[in-house]
Amino acid sequence: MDNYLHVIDVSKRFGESTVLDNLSLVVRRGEFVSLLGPSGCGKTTLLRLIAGLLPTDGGRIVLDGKDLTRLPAHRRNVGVVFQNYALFPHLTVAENVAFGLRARGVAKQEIPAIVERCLAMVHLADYADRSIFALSGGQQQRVAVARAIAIRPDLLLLDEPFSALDRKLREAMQIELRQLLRELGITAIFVTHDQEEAMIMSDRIAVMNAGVIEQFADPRTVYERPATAFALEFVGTSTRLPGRVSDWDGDTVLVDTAAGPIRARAGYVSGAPVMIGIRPEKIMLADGNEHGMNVVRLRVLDRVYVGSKLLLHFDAGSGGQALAELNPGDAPDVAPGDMMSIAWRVEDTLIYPAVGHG
Amino acid sequence: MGVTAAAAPVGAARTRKPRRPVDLLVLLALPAVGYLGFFFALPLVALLAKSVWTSAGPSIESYARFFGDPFSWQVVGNTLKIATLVTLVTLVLGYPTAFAMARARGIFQILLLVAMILPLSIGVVVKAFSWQIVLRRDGVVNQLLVWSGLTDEPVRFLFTETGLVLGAANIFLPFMVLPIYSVAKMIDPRLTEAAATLGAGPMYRFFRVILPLSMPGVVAGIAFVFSMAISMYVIPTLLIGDRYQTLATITGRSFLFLRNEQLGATTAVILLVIAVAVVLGSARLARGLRRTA
Repeated sequence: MDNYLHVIDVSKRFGESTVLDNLSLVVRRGEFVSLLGPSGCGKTTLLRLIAGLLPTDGGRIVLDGKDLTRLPAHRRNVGVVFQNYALFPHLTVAENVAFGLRARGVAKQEIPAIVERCLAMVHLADYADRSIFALSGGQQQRVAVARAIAIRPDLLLLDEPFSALDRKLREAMQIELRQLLRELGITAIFVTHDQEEAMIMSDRIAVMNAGVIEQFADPRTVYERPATAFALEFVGTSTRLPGRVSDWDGDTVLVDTAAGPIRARAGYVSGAPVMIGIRPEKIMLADGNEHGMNVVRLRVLDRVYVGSKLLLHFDAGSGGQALAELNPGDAPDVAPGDMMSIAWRVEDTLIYPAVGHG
Repeated sequence: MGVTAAAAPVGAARTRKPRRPVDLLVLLALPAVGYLGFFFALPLVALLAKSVWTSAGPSIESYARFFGDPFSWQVVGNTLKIATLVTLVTLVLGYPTAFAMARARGIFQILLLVAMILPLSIGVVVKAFSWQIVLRRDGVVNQLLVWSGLTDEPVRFLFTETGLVLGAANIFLPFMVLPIYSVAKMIDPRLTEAAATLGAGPMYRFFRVILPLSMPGVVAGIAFVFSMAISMYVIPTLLIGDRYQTLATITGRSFLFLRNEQLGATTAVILLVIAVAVVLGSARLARGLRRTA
């Protein structure tokens, strides 16, 4: 797949505050990319810059070899699905979908067929003549998608389009939208603060924090190898233990933590403050055969049974907690207060410099 | 929906018809309905009766006489012309103003709103007199025109249609701006953004999104200003004088000076019919525009 959208050193300031600072992002043709981050991280601002709804304060935006930076929104051919859908209240469902076609001067006799096809794609063929007020939230969302894809955009931007829907509907729509965009071969950028949603939908996820992309990788890499302490914290659950490096043998470091000494593959000088991270499903119960693994003995704080798995919370010392995700059959008799040995592979031990988390 | 939902328990308790709580709510309008019925609808009927009542019983004789006189047609023409011009001027000036107010931020919006509402507290007579001073041969407008070299000599504004339209438009401007402003404020700015991302340029966005959505405010503004401009009495008396007659001044003169109550009642009814027709017509036209947009 070739590189399609280039966001190059883009900056955006609102008055005194810098929202985006020299941000760069490259998206491949046909790719579905999520911008994932907490509110205020600049993800929606980036989306609006790409759409041309906000002017940039530096940098360039190039789509398929064409420089969009100075083009107004209506000349970019970049579709947007807004968070509140922004459907035209004075138009019917079909007229909403036809709006972009009419604005672009598509031949009158071609419009009804395109509208019909787009409404069929989102399963709203029977709703063409309805008022948008007669639709449910999910249906309105589909109209917004149909309206955006009707103009065959070179790029589709989606700004938290599912945030107003209830959980069940949201999950169904996520799968459906992903399949639809894949079939149409539309390159899409999706803004969300919901890490699960980003995981489900994306080819790649850009984890954003304070106007910076901290990691840009496929969902599995983002989850298993978070590039920064922020990415670890924001995506999924994890055990996080602060500590200090006490030894380095050229391959692994030994870190002193409140839970005990822990080994990790990394290079840090002795005395460096670090943050250890472990994903809950990497942790298992120690059975005395733990060669090349980290083993710590901790007291069980809580035991949560959630059907397909068993969650154990441990006291990791200094007020910290460790979380293990086990099969329900693995520890049937565990009760709060028990002391248990848990283990995980040294390779699965994540380690970050402790700056910003001290 | 919020109103009916909140009223439901009361309705259920009192009338045992929980599905129709609206019945009770209607009672809330009763004082106003009674007031308007007694002091407005009843006199209106009396006025209508007076216009058709002759010593030989009811007849449309007075209407026939009115429309048979060419002078009457000129009066109707004057009335419609001035009211239309005033409405147009306030619309052209007021529409952009209303949107500027709706999109202004914080304190600036409040200041604009105050600037628009405060002049309403000054009486029409005072304002009309002020315009007399402003429009005089040696008034501010003429001083400015001569000083800037736009004209060599002072222009005659006072006691002309131009002067009347200028003064009346100023006085009625808030009644155009405020209804458009309240509608404009409700238009989601994302709608224009959405239109832009769909490929609509500025003109297309205005005519296909902003204008149709602001139409209810425009219609309300036109209805307000037109019905006030068509029936204004004090402003033309002070700014254009007795030689220029409109339906409202004729009505006033008939009652006050000529003591011809039948003529006054007749012109009042004609004025009312024209005003209602224009207001209803513009509302219908707007609905049609909305549909084709």
